[in-house]
Amino acid sequence: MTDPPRLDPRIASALHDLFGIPQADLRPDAELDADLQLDSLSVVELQVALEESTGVRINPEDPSQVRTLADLQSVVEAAIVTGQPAFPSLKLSEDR
Amino acid sequence: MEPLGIAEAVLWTRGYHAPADHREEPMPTSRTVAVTGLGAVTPYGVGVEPLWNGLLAGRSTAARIRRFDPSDHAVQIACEVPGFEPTEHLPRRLARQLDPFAQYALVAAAEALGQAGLLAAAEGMHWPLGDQADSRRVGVVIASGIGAIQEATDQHERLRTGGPRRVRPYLAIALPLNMAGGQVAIRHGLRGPNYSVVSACASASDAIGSALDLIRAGRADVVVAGGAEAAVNPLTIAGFAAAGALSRRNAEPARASRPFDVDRDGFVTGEGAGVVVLERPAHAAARGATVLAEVSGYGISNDAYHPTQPAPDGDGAIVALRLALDDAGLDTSDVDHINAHGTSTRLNDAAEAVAVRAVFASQADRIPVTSTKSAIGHLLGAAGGVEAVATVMALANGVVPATLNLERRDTACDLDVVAGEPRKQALRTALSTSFGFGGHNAVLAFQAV
Repeated sequence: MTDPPRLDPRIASALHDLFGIPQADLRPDAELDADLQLDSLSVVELQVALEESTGVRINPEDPSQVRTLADLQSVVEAAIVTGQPAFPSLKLSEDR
Repeated sequence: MEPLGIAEAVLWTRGYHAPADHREEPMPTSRTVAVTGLGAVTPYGVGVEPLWNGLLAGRSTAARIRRFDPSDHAVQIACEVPGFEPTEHLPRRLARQLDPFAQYALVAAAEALGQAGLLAAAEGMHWPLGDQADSRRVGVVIASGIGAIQEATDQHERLRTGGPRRVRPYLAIALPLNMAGGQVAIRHGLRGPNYSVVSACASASDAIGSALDLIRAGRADVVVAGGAEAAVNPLTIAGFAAAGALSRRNAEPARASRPFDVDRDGFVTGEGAGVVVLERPAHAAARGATVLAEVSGYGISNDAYHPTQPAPDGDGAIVALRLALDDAGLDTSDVDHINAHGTSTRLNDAAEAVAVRAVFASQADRIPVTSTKSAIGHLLGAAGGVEAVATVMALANGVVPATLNLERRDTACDLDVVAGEPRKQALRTALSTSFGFGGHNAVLAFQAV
């Protein structure tokens, strides 16, 4: 017997902090739009927050396939494995 | 995850309300509109009640700035909204989409619509109208002088330190100045006329004047009108301080805002929102709404003189005062209270006094004047909204709150400025004046009911 996959706490925390979605609603099959009521801007807001908390760039090949929390978790895990930095830090000298 | 266009994203969140036809009476019918709701977020806290109690108690709200460390600023004081936690008042998702100025606007608008008896029960992101108004006939005109400065500076910092990908997408809906009114409409399902007006520190009064015009023109039965501002921000404080507009009385914040006093040295920045619900009188009567006061006139003009200084002879302000009286069908002898702009700057208070004297002559001797800004600072584009609320409360309660810190009235300000204790007297008619950088002048006339 295996435990059901646990949602990455960084995803759970972002969904609560950004949108007030309680832990109880965070089933793996919950759909981002229909169940969690995340419109497109909110999904990108979530993406920016997750890139901040994970430090890696989250850039799914086909965004339309990211429909459920489980899909989102897979994308985040894959991004962490790939490990492309989310925000290459700028140096002031380059910025001027 | 490609974002939709903004228009699609907004459509996504827009609740659809089935049309209902409540237009039982002909319109327009009246030059005067009813005030049926008030809402406020001020340095006294959330709500009209703490505002009015604070004004009557004469307690200053100015203090050392807490929002940021002001240590290296020339001006280190402001009137901040105390302990405002957005998610105590708004759904978390909605709060995230808003700059603080718009958060204040939404909280004040909900209070005003609630008092007007126009809201049904809240449902998540939405708090729809009940059945007493046709949503297509309810408009919103919410102003700001500066708008989403916190969002702009926060996200600019993220751009500078993390690059473009770190800028959040909600910037696109949090930044625009119209989004306070837009989000009020989305939250409450208000489908009538909706725009913002911008005229610096006259903005909220011009918003209320525009709402009056919308109802008079028959374009709406109800308009939620006012202003919101959240400019206690390092950038704005630094800039307004550099311009010499702000009081530097850092060691004595409670004594810093002193309109009409000879020792005034500038205004104290305040923040918050003030909103009124204006309504066509026949509409209010048909649904049995409680009318708190009436707005009977609006005068608007421009000095066409200088970006920051008022015309020293009060010329533009005089025009606006006379237009407001004419618009309301009033004579100078009818006016028995003026809620002054009274910023506590050297130039404004003197020019305003000159203008009031020019219009009212000896009548000004018997007209009690007060400056709300002595207690809560200058809320810039929200000032006229909060002062409209204060003016309605003064008319409804027959009492004019005192102007704080009036220890020695400037002889150049030859007005009956209420000082010390609030003054109780029967009030029928009041004016509220607002003047802004850019030479903007707006005067509203209110009637007791």
